[in-house]
Amino acid sequence: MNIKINGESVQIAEKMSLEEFVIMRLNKKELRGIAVAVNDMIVPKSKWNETAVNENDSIEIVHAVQGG
Amino acid sequence: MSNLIIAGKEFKSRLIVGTSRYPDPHTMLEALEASGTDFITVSIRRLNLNAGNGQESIMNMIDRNKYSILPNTAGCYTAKEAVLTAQLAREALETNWVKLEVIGDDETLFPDVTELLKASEQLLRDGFVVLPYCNDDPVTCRKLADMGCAAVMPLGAPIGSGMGIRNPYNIQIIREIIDIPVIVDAGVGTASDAALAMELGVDGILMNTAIAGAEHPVKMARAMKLAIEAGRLAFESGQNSEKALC
Repeated sequence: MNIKINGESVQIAEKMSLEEFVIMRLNKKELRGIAVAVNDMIVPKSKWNETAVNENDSIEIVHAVQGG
Repeated sequence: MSNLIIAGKEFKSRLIVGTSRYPDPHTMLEALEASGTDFITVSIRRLNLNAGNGQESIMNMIDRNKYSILPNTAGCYTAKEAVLTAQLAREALETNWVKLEVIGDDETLFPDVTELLKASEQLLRDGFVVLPYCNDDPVTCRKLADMGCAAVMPLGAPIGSGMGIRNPYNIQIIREIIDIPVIVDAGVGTASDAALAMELGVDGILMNTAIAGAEHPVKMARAMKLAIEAGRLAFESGQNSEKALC
């Protein structure tokens, strides 16, 4: 299945939840300080587990950086 | 000297400091310390997934017991982008405060007023504490205040320009016609600009480039702290009226 993550196209083999995908992609379980939007809609952390990753989804993972 | 209060939250400093463009993180931390601030801004950006070359999260450098965090929506050009960025910031940082920026022009970074008003309305409805960066336009500021924003943040001059308070009269009118805090955001170049703004009666100043871009950011941070305190004290003192002696 083809999806976009932070602007880059990637292929994932199996169906998975957003939570599984984020943990896999970030390669860590500590998920504090980040937020996720799917197709320009925020998905709160509490919903990651029940949200499935679908074909052609555009996923954005963001965090806080230095800014003015 | 009285303290700055925004949306019922009390701050010990009237200076809000940006965390961008310092020569290095160590200098940033020292400058924040020297500025006396307890309220700092951050931005929300894509995580770089190709490990090693991404921008590190600032939250690994900052002590949240020491500083309240004000995420901004820098880089957003529409209400839609700004609202999503604010929602992402709330989720990532566990704060419902936002410095709302909706940029209308690439070159000058002037705000897009129609998009700003639209985004403010949506975010207020969604429970955010909204601090909009806006033009030094009294009418826009009054609309933002009437809507329920927690403060207005008119620019003194374009972001990063260091040109000072270009229209002190407008800033004074804004201070007089609205009841919520007025924070001058952008344009302050040096200590006298900060003191002047405070003498006009504004409640605080948000700055970044003036400190981060100085040759000695830590010294400039201290200069700004002193200027803001001096300007505020002078304002609260009630100036002796001028009189011509000849």
